Amino acid sequence: MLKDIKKEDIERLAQLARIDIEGKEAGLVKDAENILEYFEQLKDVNTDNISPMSGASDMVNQAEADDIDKGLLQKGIESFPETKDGYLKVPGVMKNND
Amino acid sequence: MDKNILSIKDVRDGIVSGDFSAEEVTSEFLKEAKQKNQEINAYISIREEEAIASAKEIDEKIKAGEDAGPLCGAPLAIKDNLLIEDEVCTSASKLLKDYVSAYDATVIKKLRTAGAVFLGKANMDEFAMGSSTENSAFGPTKNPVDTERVPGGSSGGSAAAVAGRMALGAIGSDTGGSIRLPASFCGVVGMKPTYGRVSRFGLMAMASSLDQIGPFGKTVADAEEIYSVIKGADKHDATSRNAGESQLNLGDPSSITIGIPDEYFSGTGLDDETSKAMQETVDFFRSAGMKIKKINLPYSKYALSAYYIIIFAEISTNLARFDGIRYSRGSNNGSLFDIYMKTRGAGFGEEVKRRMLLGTFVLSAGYYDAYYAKAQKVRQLIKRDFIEAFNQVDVILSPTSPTVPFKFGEKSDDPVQMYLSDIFTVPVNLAGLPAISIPVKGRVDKLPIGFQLIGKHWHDSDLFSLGKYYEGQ
Repeated sequence: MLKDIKKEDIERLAQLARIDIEGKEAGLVKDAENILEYFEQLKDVNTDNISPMSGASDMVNQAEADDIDKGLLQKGIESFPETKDGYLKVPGVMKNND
Repeated sequence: MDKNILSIKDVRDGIVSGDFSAEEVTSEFLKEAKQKNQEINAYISIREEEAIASAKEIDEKIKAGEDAGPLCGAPLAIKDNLLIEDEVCTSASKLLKDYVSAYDATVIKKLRTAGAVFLGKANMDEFAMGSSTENSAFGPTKNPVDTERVPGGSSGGSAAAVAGRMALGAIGSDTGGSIRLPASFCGVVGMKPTYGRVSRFGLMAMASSLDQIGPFGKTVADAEEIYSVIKGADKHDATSRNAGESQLNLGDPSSITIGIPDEYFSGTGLDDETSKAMQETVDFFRSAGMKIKKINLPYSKYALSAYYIIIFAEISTNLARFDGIRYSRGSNNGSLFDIYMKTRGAGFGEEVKRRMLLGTFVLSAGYYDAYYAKAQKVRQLIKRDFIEAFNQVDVILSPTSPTVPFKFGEKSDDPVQMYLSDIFTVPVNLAGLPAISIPVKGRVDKLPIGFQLIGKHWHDSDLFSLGKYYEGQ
């Protein structure tokens, strides 16, 4: 079930996770190997016909009124790193920000 | 005012009866906190002015004859992953060193209303990822009992603050043992409530299907007082709910059965000293007339693997929000992709990066079923183990940690060894159960050891009542 982790795999994961890991690749490969080796033990568990448990609660959808907290909204805007005229300012998405 | 004998109740009674003021109590604890923090580093920030201001408000209320709340004047340390409006909240990460919270966490609001005074923001492992508080961007916290040793983690600052009398009580968060392990290592009481008992609105999420906020106290009674204030449903957290409290009949000890899980005592790296301390604790309850019953939790040996796979996955999604655009801004140069890569690369510490990469891996196409889906099924089996055990017993007793507090650097280079510190605490979070860590008695001049009591779902009060019984209150 499990795979050998190589330097290229770690680099690919770092791109997907958007984390610069330059210079740390070797250590991360070693750590990943050790951790995934520990996880090998799960192979021994028979989980046929067992449903996955995705949360600790047995509660189902909790609906609430769709009220807007204007104070919180304003606070959110104020606490944003960059704003302009009450709008959030972010770097360009479609092209470079120059 | 002899602060060595102060409990939350003593503080409340003293303030209400006019023996001393809230300001006096706060000043005393602040003095201690500031002085000891240079060595212990339990606090990332100390809120001197704000704390004195809230203490004065309480004193005014008392003067005016108003009710100042059940925690009136109680000086607390707050883990730095809980938001206090208009104040910096770092989660012990370089990435958030200047982040200012836009609102109060629900727990903060409740504590404020109850009259608690917040002395400062407690140190922790970055984003609550770690078992020793060595992963803080602001330097490790030292264990006040022995400063060569770690305080446990991730709520190490909260536990150390209480142990070092730098706070009367504290708030932490527990995803896989992050309240109970530091409580055990520092010789204080730490409790993780049933999943859903306490609102997590305003807690920086690590692994949402496991995170829970809980109290630290010098005694079980203090932890219970804080717990009673913070619990309850909140419309801002859809997993929170109100549920009744249980009652063990301690008037008749023979009506109580305590389960001892066989699997926890072999092949778990349990050291001799801890093993002996557990034997003494079991003997205490047995001689009190309670029934002691061996139980089996056959899937517990797989809990650590299932737990780490699940949290890696949840971490990689939860921490995607820290993108260098919203909560902090690095350079705006280069493409959006470059901004993400650079901000996250420079802002996150090693353990956080490791977990996010592995989380991305276990969720990726081709590996999802082998890791994440498999871990979720094993989680189901672990929960079933507990449900079956609780058909026979009221409470389960175990060690909190397999070892006494370890030294700095002893495990920090080996992630798997570090993860093994959580072997007795993670199954509880996987199943969503309540659990408490209580210091084993009679360990003066020895390293602290905690024992863990695990309760049935929503039976949080069973743990407090049994704990108080043990403490002889």
